[in-house]
Amino acid sequence: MYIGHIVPFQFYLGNPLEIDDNPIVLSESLRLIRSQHHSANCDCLDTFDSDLQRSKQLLLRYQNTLTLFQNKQPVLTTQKCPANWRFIPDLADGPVKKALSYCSAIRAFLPGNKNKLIIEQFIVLDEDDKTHVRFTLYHFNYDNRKLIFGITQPMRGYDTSHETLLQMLAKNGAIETETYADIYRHCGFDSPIYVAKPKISIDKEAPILQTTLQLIKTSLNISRQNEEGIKADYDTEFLHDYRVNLRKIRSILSLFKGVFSMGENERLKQNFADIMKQTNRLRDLDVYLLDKQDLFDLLPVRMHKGLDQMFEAFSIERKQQLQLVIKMLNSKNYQKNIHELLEKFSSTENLRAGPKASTTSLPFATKLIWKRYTKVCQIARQIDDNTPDEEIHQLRIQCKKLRYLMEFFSALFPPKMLKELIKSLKRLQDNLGRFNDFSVQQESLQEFLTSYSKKHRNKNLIAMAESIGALIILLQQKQSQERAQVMQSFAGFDSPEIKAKFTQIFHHGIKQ
Amino acid sequence: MKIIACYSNKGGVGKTATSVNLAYASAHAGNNTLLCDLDPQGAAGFYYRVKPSRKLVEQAFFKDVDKFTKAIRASDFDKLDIIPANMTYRDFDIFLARMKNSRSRLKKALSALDNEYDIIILDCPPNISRLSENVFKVSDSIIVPVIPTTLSERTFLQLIEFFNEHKLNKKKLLPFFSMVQKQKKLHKTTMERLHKQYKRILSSEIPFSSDIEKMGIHRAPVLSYAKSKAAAKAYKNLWQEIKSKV
Repeated sequence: MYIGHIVPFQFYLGNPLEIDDNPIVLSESLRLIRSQHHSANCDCLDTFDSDLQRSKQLLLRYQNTLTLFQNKQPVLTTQKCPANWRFIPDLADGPVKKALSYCSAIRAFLPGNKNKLIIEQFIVLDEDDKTHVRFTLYHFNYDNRKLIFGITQPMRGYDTSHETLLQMLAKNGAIETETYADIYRHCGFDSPIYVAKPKISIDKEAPILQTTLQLIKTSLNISRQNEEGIKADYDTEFLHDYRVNLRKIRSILSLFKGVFSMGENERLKQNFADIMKQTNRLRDLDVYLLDKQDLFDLLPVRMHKGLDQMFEAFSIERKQQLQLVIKMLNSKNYQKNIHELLEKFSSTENLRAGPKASTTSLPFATKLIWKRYTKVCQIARQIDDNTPDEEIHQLRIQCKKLRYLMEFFSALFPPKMLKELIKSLKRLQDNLGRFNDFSVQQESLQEFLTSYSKKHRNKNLIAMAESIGALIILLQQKQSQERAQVMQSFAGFDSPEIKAKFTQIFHHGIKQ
Repeated sequence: MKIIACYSNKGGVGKTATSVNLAYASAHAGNNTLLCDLDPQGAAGFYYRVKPSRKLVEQAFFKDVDKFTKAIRASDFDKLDIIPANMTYRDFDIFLARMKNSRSRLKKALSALDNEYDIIILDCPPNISRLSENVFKVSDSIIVPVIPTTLSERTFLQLIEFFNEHKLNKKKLLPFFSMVQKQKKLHKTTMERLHKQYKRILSSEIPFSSDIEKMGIHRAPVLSYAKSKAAAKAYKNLWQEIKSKV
């Protein structure tokens, strides 16, 4: 193997090479032969976040093997995979798993439409039968549509032979490509790809009512793009993203005061709260089940049995909850409601404006962010070892709101500075997030135990109570460790430089 | 990066066959391997169907590392590259002698490849010369094929003497028995005697084999076209033993 000076050539070909069993003469001393060809059913894979398309990679599954194409890498990375494989952690250790380690562990790899793949391998030989170049053509066939993709594998020291091959390919209509976008499109992947956090271009001079509509519409659209994934239950991130975007809308409704009339605002708030409420339990169960391994790891093996039953109960309940959510999403009421909301947000005229509706967007944004920032600082600076946990939760919620606001209006502020501020906020948020997770876990465990013990009286209960009790104590310890970090994390966020930047962007902005 | 020289001060002992098959075994075991054909006859390159490089002229070889690396050719096998011999440096022993600080030059050229190769195998010309002395210095190990005959034994002793005279590190020498014909009494007794005398002689041995002779017809290492045959297995074992000592 040699990875080096000559870059492999990636291309699409309009028509197959007419070669059969006769070699193609490339030059006086070089000839091209087809060394192998075979066909297989093939899935083209990517996550809903399009991790592979974004990083200019292509993942195929055929003959129980994953084959990863990495842009401009002459040698493909391959690994065996289980039949219905979806998640990175379910792969055995191997080169593909290693190469995909940047992808989320909880995102499913989803197939597009099933293609019949024909793979043809070619070699360029000299008169001594020494190989000078190799290349492969991949014919993707789906429903009478064909796409031919090729990649050369240059060999060290045979640059001119590679060049000769490229001339032949060019004569046959090869068109160079940098990405695998056409293959993904051919295999039925959406274009443009899903973006969970798009940068929303906002006109700073526009009235805030118009901007608010734009923000709500964007979040609502992203939220809706996740509905199919929730129904198909591909992975838990669909519901998560769905809810995050609904929560963003609710944050807008509660933070952007005076944009809509009071009555309008209350009705919208209630409407979105009602939609989201119906997914609460499913999300809780998703979170418990995602944490399963972490919780098992906390306890010695002999105590695992008690937990098994709990997670089994969670699994069963999750199935029921999922059905309820699917039913909700498919219901006529929901469809009608969403379409009415979309219609409502399509024009400022459909909404009852509030007293602030015509305020210019930029000053409105800076004022909101500054207010939230001072609120965060105000709560955080009062925190000491004796502060009740409730205050910490408040801080977490305020931080989240501040983060949303900064992200909503990111287009209005210098990107580099904003990125730095968000990064410093994120560190604090991560700390607070873990604090919250440990707290929620304790509550849910306690809650489960209480309700289980009311319904069941058997010998398993004692084992279960022991396991859960031990977990709660451990989680308490972990929570207080996170708690102890909060002041330090905030100190990082409250540094003079960060403070100066917040003031410069969001406070002086008002005076401008 | 480890440099392993395959060397014999006597011709026709299976030196090139050894280089060619060890390089294959090394690459097959997952090492990025470079086989340098330093023998002007260019047999190692021939076995891999790699033509002698026209670009590589004497001066370039030692002065211009870039040109040196440009002479490298991929073999048809994964992880194995070749520097083919160049017929124009037939006399490069003399050329080397003329150059100042010649001892360090080869090493310099080779260590420029440090990040690319795990194993470099040098197929050396069969004589004791300035180039050989260079090779003895830069190599981590020197594999010496010895046919268990009187004449071969004698040349092996000469090599040891040379190392003594020039205060070279004898520990680098890894002799092994080549072209062994167990049915011959002479072979058997020579091997027994030498094993007792020199503890460093490797236990792996390469049999005399028509499969090895056929390398010229196949123009490929035995390990690639007759991997289940005794000769191929012997090379594989030899590589494993060498690898454990390098």
